[in-house]
Amino acid sequence: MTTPGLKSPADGAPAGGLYRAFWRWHFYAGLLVMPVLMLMALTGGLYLFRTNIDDVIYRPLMFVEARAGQASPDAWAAAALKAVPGRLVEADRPADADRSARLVVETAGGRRSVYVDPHDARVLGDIPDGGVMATVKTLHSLSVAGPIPNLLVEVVAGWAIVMVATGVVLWWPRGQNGGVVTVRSTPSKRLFWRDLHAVTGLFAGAVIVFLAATGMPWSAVWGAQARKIVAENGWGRPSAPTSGPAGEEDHSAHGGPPARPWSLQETDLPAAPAAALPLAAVMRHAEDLGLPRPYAVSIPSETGKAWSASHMPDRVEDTRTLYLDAATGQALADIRYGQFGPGAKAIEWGIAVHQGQQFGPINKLVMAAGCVAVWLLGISALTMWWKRRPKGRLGAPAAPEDKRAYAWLAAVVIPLAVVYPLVGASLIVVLGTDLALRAAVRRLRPQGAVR
Amino acid sequence: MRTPLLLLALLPVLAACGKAPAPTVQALDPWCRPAGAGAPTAGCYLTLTANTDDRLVSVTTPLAARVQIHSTSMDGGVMRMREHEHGLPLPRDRAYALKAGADHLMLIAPTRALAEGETVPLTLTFEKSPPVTVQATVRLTVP
Repeated sequence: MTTPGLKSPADGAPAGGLYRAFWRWHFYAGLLVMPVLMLMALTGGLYLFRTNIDDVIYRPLMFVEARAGQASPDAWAAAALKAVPGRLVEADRPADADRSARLVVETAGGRRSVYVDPHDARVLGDIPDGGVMATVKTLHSLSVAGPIPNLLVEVVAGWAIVMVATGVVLWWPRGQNGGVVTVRSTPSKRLFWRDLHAVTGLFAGAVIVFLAATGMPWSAVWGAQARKIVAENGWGRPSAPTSGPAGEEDHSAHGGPPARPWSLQETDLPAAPAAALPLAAVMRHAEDLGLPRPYAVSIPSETGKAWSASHMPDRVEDTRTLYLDAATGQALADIRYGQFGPGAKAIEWGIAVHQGQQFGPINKLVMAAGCVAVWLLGISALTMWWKRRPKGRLGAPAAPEDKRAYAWLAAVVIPLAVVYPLVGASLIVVLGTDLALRAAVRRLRPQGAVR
Repeated sequence: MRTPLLLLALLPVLAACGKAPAPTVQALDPWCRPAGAGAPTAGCYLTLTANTDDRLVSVTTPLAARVQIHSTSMDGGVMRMREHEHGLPLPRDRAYALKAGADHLMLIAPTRALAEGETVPLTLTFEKSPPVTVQATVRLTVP
């Protein structure tokens, strides 16, 4: 059953089976994931500039008059807790004299960030922890809509890789006179949108695949598995300290402080007995041990658990986390990038680049360009389809006559389905639905005239 | 599209081909509790991280007759201290804290009083790594 008018869009030559198979998949994959991918590109693009955005939105909270000398961090904590009663869970000490200190307080109504002038311990104000960018982040991970949509992120990221892979095959020059690295025609013509889509995809494909792959460590299924494999094989970070009789380690209470790095999220904080030292003493000792500002001190929920003090600058090589005994202040571990195993090194580096931190402003701009490209791809795809839409039908590309074309498609998709289990699961669902629908259509129309 | 596969494929390769560096032990934040003149013992603490499976074999200081490596265990509600006779095993890449209430170094018969703010030189000998000398600060907690 040949469908009239189904041609390779570039040169008018009849579409080959391979082309059709890839086009069909590219079309359906795009239909399913593009809306979510565009949401992720928008929120991710904003999140790249979170510091700048926070500085603009919360300017009165972020900046103070630069002065010499600081009040004691204990005074910051006391002032913050007076303004917002609750339990202190984190204290961030700034590096620059014109920046405020942030103290995170857990209250009955959730965590709040209290900003304090470090020079005189004056409270500047408080906002829900993370502010607007925290909402952007939950939108980016879809966790704003619950744990199930959060799984969808993994599916979408995996299919984004499938789209780039199939897209490259569709882009592959077949003797046409343009649309390879240049855009032909004008916006009124479909050809313009086809070329825009293909050329954008070509240049942005690598960034999109990189963003999808390096975003996976956060995901619920792949990320958890990867973390486990990395930890079990000793490819992760050095373990948190042990001490005393074997088995003394406390394996209760998860839910670590937010400042903890990705590969430590599987590790419990080490245990220690007795009452905790004051915040100021802990900070002073951390600085004696050479921890540079800015740093975040996490205060554990249980007395006896160790405190952590993390310096998390943009470049992943410069990160450092100290664990300090709550009662004596003794450093129980001093963990730096150089001590990470190969798994933690690769993944943390990927995260730093994903977030646009590792290579300074260029890094941010390249990742932002990837986000803009996703929108260009989505808009050009939609326009392309709109300009040639059939009446009353979806207008999906027809399945190829030669089923052998699917072997090549499988060669691209199956490895991805194995590496990313949720991609595999969604693949099975999509194939099953497709087969069922086509069987239903065939039963309705015995001639099989409709695809 | 090969990136995630490569990433996964790279992990064991990286793990295998990263050739073993020379064995060393990092000694972090050493400190000792103060001891009065004539006190029979004084406790010292620090955190050790070995880059290979190693063992703390012995400790010496010019300020005490000898140093024992003690373990502390709870036995039927009673805290027991015992000497690690074969030294203290240090698993690779694991920060091992000798800390208050747990394993510690015990200076036996200090030659003089140890007052807050002083430092105690401790020389640690390991099975594989070269010896390390640290200056332990005498204090109760961090100042």
